[in-house]
Amino acid sequence: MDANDVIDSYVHDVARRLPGAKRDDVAFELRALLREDLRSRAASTGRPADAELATEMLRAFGRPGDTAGRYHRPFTLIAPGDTWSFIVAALAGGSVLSLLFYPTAEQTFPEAGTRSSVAVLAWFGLLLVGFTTRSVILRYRPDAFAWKPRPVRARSDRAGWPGAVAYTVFWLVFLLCYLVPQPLLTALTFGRFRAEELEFSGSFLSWLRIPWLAVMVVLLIALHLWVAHEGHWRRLTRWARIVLILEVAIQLGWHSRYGDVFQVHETNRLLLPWFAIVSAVLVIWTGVLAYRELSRVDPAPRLVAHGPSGPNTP
Amino acid sequence: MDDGALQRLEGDLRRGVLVLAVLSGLRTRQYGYSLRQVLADAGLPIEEGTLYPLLRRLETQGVLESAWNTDGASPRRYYWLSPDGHRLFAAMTESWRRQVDVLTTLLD
Repeated sequence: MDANDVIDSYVHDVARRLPGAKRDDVAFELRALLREDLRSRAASTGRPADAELATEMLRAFGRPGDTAGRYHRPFTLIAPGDTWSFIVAALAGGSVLSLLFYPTAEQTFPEAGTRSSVAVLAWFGLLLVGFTTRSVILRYRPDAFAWKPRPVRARSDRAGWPGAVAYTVFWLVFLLCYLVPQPLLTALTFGRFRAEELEFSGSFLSWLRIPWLAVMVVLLIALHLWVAHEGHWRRLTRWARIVLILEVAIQLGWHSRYGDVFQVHETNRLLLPWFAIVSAVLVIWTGVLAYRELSRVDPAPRLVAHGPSGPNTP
Repeated sequence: MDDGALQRLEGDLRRGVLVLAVLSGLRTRQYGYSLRQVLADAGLPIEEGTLYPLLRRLETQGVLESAWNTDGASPRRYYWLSPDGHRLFAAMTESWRRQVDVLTTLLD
């Protein structure tokens, strides 16, 4: 390739990104200008106007896509200001759909994986169409989708004992249902219903399976009591709560998917889907909590300590 | 403050006056390369990748007029101020002088 071939290649890569009406004319002018620039650069540097110098000059000129963008405002599928909303919607919807289409124990991998993947990809496709439509409208009507004020929900980090007690009771009931469902049912029915079908399988009672969820729930209860003692939630304790609830959800989902929990097969068939449902609810809950945490705004000054040479305040 | 930050801020300043500088250069007919030379000789070097597209955009906005000259060995597209461009140039010059006065007062 000689220098003219290099310039032609660059001009082609720029012009093909431009609207048809101006493409050829811009290409003709840009080519003439670049050839003149190359001659000038060669004269000023004392180097030959060869392909190497042309490539060097064009790299300094900018990527063809960027140069084309200076000639004609580039079209973006997702407006830069909408990128965060797109990511949140994609992750939230993708997570919910993955849970909804989570493969059951009977489904084989290719079929189950395909259903789940198609659902998630369809969601991404829908989002792309929606955001692209919005981007097109904004391109031609910049005043569309004008911002409107809306009330901001006040969030309080205060934590009192009544709330902590309520959460403790909730998680204790959860823990009892999980650890001792059979004695609990027997006690609740005053011994009339012994429910031997609820006896755990030997594998579930092993140290690898049953204890970990209980440990997480105990830690959650301890966390709520600690926060009530402190009087308010901090960033660390808020994230600790999210991680612990998510871990409970993962444990439940794991139990619902791998191995028997109860000795009786029919009980497993009836109850394990409910494990999965509770797990999904907990995942969605943690998703909401995590979103609130990530999008949280607490207007506050960022105080920077100034030394002796710092600005003087009046 | 490092040199990079200074260069970026100087670049921002230069971009702010770029259109006015280009309009001033196009009171006489120029093509892209010659205009760049005129501005560089006056102490305002502008990158080719910025100047050439800018000429097209200003023409699309009706500020400039242009015509091809294919008589020479190298075809050239010449640009000059349109009547609207002359009015815009006068208004921007006036605005620039006001801003210089304000800044001079602030900086003194």
